[in-house]
Amino acid sequence: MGNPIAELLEKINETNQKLQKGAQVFSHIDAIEIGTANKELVWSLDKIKVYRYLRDSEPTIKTPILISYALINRFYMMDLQPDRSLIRNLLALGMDIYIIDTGYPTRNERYLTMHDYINVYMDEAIDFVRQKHQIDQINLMGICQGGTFSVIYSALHPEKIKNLITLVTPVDFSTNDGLLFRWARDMDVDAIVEGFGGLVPGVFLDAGFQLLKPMLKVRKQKNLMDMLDDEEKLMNFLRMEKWINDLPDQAGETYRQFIKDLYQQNKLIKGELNIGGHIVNLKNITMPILTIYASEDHLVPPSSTKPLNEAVGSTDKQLYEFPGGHIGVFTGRRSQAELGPTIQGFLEKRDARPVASKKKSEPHKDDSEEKIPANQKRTKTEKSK
Amino acid sequence: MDSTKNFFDAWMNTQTKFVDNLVDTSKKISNSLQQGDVIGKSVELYQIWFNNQKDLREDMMHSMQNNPDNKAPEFLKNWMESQMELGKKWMDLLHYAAGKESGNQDWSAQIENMQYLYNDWNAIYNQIFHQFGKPINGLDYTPGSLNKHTFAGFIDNTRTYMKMFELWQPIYKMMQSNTLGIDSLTKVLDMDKYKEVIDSIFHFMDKDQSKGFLEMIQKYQEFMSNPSGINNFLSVPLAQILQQFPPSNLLDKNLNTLAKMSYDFSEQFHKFVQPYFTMIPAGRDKEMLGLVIRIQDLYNKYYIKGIEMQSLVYVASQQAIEKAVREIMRKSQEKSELTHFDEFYAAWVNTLEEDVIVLFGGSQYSALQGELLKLGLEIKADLDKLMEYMLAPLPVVPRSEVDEINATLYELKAKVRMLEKQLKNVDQEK
Repeated sequence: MGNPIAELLEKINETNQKLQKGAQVFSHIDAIEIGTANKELVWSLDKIKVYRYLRDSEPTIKTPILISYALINRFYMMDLQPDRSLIRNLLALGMDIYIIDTGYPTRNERYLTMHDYINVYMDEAIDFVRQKHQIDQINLMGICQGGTFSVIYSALHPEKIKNLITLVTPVDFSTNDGLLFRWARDMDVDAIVEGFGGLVPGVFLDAGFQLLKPMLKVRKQKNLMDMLDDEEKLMNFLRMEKWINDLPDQAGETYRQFIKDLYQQNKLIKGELNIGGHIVNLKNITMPILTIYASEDHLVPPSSTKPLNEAVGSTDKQLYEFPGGHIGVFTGRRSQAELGPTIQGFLEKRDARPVASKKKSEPHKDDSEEKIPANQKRTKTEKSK
Repeated sequence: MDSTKNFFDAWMNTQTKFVDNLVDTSKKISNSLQQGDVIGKSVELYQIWFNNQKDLREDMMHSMQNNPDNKAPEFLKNWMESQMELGKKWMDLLHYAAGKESGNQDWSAQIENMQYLYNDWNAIYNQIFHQFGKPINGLDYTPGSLNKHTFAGFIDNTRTYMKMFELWQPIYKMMQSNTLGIDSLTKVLDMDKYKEVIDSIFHFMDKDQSKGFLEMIQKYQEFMSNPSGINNFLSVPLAQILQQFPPSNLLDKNLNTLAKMSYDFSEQFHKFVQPYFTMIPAGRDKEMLGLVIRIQDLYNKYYIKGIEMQSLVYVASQQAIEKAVREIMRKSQEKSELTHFDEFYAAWVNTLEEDVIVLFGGSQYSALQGELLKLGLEIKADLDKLMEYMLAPLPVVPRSEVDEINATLYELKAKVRMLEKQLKNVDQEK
């Protein structure tokens, strides 16, 4: 048996030292920089901006890709730091990348609807990229809620999308696997939107996310105690904290429709969702599609992402399981070696010479007219090794 | 360079030496406790510590006096002073413990002393926390607010960790004497302290936080008081209800009675007030009074629902600590040695999370959370309306009018976009 006083002394000493070190380290940390990959502003409308990431060389994948991120949190999660950056990985793999920045809505934007985000901003951003490259179709990659918007867009405007990639994207909201899906059914969305005066605070949404893993904060802070003497680990932690705490508010009308029509009534997968007067039919999605989901995702569980593959009209489709959680897909060490090449590989095989833009866009033709080599058509689920 | 920063660096440097000195000395005393060579060593070590500390203090004071701008923040000076006191008390404590140990190899006597040692240390530790938050919160030159935020979280968690360590002490003691069982656990576990831990993790209402609510009720009663005796009507049942909120005990299950009392009260109140209310002529005052009554009613419901939700988590938390203790008892039996605190802490964190997630996924919790959210936001919306009524005589534009302008702007933008698109199509067709 150990000496209990000695153990107590040890514990007290250990804690005192950590507290002391913590105060010292935190007081000497300079600015925390994230999202540092070079990019330029190329388009904007109202508060929505499109950036293009700068490259040193010509892209090897000719068709540019536009990334649509969720309205909650900020897009630079994909470029947290140079050695954990999906953006930098994709650039290095020869891609020409554009990204939509939906900014920080204020009361001016409280009336923006899903129609505005999808049929106005996303549509105009896509038109801009098409015109800039003189092509009819571009690649579209959507993440989380941005993925849901990308899916809806691709169903409404399939003629403009060459390949669709979704990452951790909720599509079937009938699942009981995630607490968010369960809770949303008991929420009075009108009371939330009206109570917050039409602008739903990002911190309110974050409070809900934190409850999904109630002891995460306790664990995280305990880990922090153990990493105070490792500046690299500490900086990684602080970068992630900065991103987690950067929470744009949400346009109330978009939030209202997203929760009511999707979380509560699951209209997208049922083929009942109405956006801007048009019913969204997922069978209109006939372009090649890569659906990436995270096996341990507690925010968007696989049961809500995987049904997309069955719901679309595409014959060239891949389902890719990434082992990890919702954020780990982008920031984990494994992701750095795996995710970029998976996306690049999918697009490279389908990167036939971009079709030159005609004066007027032709309406979309069905999948049978797309010239995809037979050996590139896949329906079987591919899992990561 | 900023002289405050210069001072801070010097101060931090001294602090580090203080703690190093303290830790080094206490480690040596701890070792000598283990080796049985206590009394001679502890006096020697105490003397070394004291001399080091004295030198450090003198250096620090010299540095402060030579600070040309003498801009050393007050809180840093205070903290340094309290660190000096803390160090002295701490070393006295160790010295005392060492003295108690001399010639005594009976571990049970040491265990007896632990509570004394722990209580004193806990008092010191609270003092550290009290002082520790101040310098970080006061650092104007700390870049951004993230460091403060992160450090505050770190401190909060450390507090949770140490509170759990405190709760662990009697469990550990009973494990040593082979008297630990689930029945005895409930007797030795300090439920008030455990409730504090749970309140802190889930950001629950505690007595202090509910003070604002109670004050609001009081103001409301004053607002409503008039010769007709409404105030007298209100005071008795409300007092009965509010005295019992929030429950003082982790497992207080008297909620149904409280909820019924509150709803009965609310119903009676409306019956009583309704005739008076209808007599007031229509207008701003009547609207405001109506809102105040509604807000009061919503507040009552919100408060009760909030406590009901907290209670569900308390019950899950109680089960979690019992499960964690069972787990460590089983492990200790398997490996024939006592479990360390960190193992217990990890078992408790994991069990609590599992149990709470199961609770959160249940329909009872989900429905309750939905109701609570709705009530809270209805209160907020009504308070906003009330504020607009109050501001109506002043030359300010209320939010609802700004929203009308925003709605018009939104419609106009959509029309402009549609017209632009039509023009573009016409141009393309030409």
